[in-house]
Amino acid sequence: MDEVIGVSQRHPAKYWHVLGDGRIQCDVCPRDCKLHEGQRGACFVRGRVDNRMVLTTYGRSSGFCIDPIEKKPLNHFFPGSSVFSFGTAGCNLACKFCQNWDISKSREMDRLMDSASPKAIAAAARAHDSLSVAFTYNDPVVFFEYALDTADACHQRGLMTVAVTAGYVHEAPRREFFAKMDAANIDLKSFSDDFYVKLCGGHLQPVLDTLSYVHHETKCWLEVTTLLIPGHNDSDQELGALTRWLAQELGPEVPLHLSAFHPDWKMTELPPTPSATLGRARRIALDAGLHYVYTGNIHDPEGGTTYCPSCRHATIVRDWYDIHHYDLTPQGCCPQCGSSIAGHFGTLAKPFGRHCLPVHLGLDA
Amino acid sequence: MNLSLPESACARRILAGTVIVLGAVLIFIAPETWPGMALLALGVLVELIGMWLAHHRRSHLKQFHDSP
Repeated sequence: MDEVIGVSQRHPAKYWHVLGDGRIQCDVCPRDCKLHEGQRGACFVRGRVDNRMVLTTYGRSSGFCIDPIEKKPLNHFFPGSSVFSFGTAGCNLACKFCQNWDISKSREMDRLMDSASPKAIAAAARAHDSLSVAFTYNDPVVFFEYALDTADACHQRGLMTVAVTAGYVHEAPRREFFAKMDAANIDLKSFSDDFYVKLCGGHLQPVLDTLSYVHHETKCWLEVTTLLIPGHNDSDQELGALTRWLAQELGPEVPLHLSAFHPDWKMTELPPTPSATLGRARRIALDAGLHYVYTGNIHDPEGGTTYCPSCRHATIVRDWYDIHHYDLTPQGCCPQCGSSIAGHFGTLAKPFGRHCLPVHLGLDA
Repeated sequence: MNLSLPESACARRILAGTVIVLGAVLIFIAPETWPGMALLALGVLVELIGMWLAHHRRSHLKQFHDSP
């Protein structure tokens, strides 16, 4: 039986409709949860109360941190800047390899929660000199209304907004969501529908649709991440197909992050991704024509460096989230050949570094 | 030395509990002599390690890429 939704957890939710049999269907993501009174959706945080959909996590967070922007990961969106980051609880996918399961699978909301209004989050981000606010840790699609109100508050204060998402969202909320995001990192977990069905409880095509939509029809800066899981999505064939699709459908300038998996949640029997696998995957992606391919969650200065696609000059040298060398003009051009590097760049004063600073906003902020 | 902690919360709780009990036993059996003082100190150290294990909550993940 579903946990009762408390009075304080009933923020009106968008995107739902009543079905002929009396149930109501959530239209935020392709899971299309159909709910009786009192039930929660698969994400656990959207539910039905008094014949309408509510969001139970509005104004509550699993915690706030100031992170380097490279941790999202975004390597071409104001490198070296800090991003005020937060998430809530719940997720609309059910990945067996979830790297964030203590948040995404949380059923103990009150134990996890910090509270903060959208305006308080924007004010705190501004007070901590962050350039942007990220909706991350769990998928912001499930706290859609909270994320968008916070995005509005951030833009009013001159802050930018960043989404870290799996892109598993329906067309109408997708349009509204990404219209308010300045940058996004979207997880492409595999290039196999079978993988999405068996390991994530979802499907591939809606994610591909989101990637195409964000890149071609919005001003939101896009980077893509694929977590390489040994034996599941790291074959030459699959990586070739995935990277060719990215190069052909999105073009060569969308950065791709290939991240190392660590054993977690229900896939603890697998080994961590070997460095050699990440190197092989990076070579496949570069051969497919992608200009910016990075390895992540390992120490690999070669795989963390941004090279000019024209003259191969190392413009930004990174190791993990540390920037060791930065050699770009404020306009984002290579100083050697003048070619433009795709992305959004500014003047780098002092890189934020690899540390993550927890921030406590306090109750009723 | 590459020391890795158990990934599952259950396994980590069992390990922490075992270490805490071991520390308590060391403190309990320490005789009132100078060598006993060393055993007592070792017991306190083991207790602290056990408590750290019990509260150590996947902090190593904080350095990894965000992954929704």
